[in-house]
Amino acid sequence: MNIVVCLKISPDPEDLEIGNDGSVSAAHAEWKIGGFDLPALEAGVRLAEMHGGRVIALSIGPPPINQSKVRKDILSRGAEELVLVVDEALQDVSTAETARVLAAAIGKIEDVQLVLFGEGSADLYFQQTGVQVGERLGWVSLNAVRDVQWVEEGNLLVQRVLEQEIQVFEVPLPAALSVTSDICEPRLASMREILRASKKPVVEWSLADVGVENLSASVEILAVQAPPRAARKGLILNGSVEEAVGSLVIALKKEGML
Amino acid sequence: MSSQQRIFLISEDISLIGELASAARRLNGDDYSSIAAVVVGNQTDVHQVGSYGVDSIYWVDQIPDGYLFEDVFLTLLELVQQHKPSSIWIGATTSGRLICGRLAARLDISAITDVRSFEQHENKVVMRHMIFAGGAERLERPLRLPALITVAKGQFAAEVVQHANPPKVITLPFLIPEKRAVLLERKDLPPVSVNLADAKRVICLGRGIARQEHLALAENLADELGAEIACTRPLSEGLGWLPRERYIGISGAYIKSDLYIGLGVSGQVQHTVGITDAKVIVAVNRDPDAPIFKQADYGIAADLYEVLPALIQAIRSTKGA
Repeated sequence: MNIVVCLKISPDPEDLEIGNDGSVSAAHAEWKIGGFDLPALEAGVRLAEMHGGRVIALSIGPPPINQSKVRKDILSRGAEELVLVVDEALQDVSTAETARVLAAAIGKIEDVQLVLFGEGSADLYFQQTGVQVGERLGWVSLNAVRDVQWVEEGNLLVQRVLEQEIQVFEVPLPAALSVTSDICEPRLASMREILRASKKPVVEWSLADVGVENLSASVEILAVQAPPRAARKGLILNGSVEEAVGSLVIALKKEGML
Repeated sequence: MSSQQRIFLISEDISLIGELASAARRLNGDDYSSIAAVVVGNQTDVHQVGSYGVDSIYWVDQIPDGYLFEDVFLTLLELVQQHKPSSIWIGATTSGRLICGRLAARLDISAITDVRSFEQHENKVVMRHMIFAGGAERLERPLRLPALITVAKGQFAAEVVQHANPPKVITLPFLIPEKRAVLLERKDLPPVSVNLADAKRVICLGRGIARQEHLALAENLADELGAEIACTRPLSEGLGWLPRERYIGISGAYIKSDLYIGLGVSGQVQHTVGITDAKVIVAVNRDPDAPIFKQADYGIAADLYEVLPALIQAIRSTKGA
């Protein structure tokens, strides 16, 4: 049985450059696995370690997603295989297009019983893709999943956390689950796993390979701008710790905070 | 867009339906024919939704045992296919996101999520929402109908609208979904210990705090200031030193306090998105290059373990004076 874990590889939000005119550039940002996706990968690997099965990582996107550092990062964290759907047309696509391509790719992978997603991508955090993919596959699909246990062949025991309550379900397979970022702590890859990673298979598909044609946009993006921010004073208080603290207390008094 | 537009609203949170109605009216002006709300609840809920000025209410009075609010999806999908609304507005809760994603998949459209405002952009109505963990905002316009929009609680104020006619109430049968997760148990979450969104003063702890025992040091400062203790995500989710409701950031709390003091907080965007509405930001970090200093009003580039006792002492003597 295969467990697919979908990962978004995107420019690191920490590396965004904001221009004086409010423009936002990710041109020099490092492309990384989303921080909310790592717990999903870890959850998939733990399930496979305990109950058997093989974890296949899946990501789609424009050519920058296919870099050796990222591939190694994914494969050293317990995935046995990496499938990438790479195409220029996947730059800045919205959730409908992403879900369509992911569902098509999952359809091409044999014997998939479970697909896991993080709670949201690092760059967009729309929290939509996992749910949409599940529905497109016609599978049971849940979000906000905090715990997954294998109960018996073909069934999972799943805990979901909402704003005010916890729900416990029996979920028949196949299923698509979006997990919360506190489902488990992602492991740090060991040296052995890092060495092993370079020997694991990486499959690269085009859109045509997964049978997707005419990926027409469902949303038009008109502008990307830095959000309006309150102007901050940016004062660094110098001197010894006592002096700096003294200046701070005077400043906070002036602000009416003390 | 045609002048004969139907607008659908849905949320399990009845007061959020009022906020959705306000937002939908704001976007559409008078250019719609009717607003219909899908309500799962009792007679009182239906009455409350009526006060928000909707034209009709599709009422599902009971979800059968073992089913979820979200299982109303099939009933909603039927309605959408029958009435072809121009837009569907969903409350951005966990349940709302699940319904939204399933609807988007069936209709082959994308949702525009967590919409914060609408504006005119080159003669088109576009929606503004956050991307890059708050590092940027994107203006978007749906290219395929219906427009599927989610709105978080608190973005738009619900208005009570005096309507000439009470809304038409149409009772709907609950359609049983063919495939589903079987609900075995539901438990209320323990009451949250704090609502950071309402706190006037917040002391936020980051990775610079070395050990859990050291939280007590920060609590002394919090007591002195009457502040709430908060933290960055790793301290809550990774280390479990503080409960989830005390973490500030993209998937946690957003604060509007008068004062925010970050102790050992580096200032990653996933965190600072939650503090942009704080009035005064103070940052203490050993690393003078920490990004938090760029977003702070007052910064002290020093060891928090030296700053903390000095600050407590200085505040005490201010009070004494």
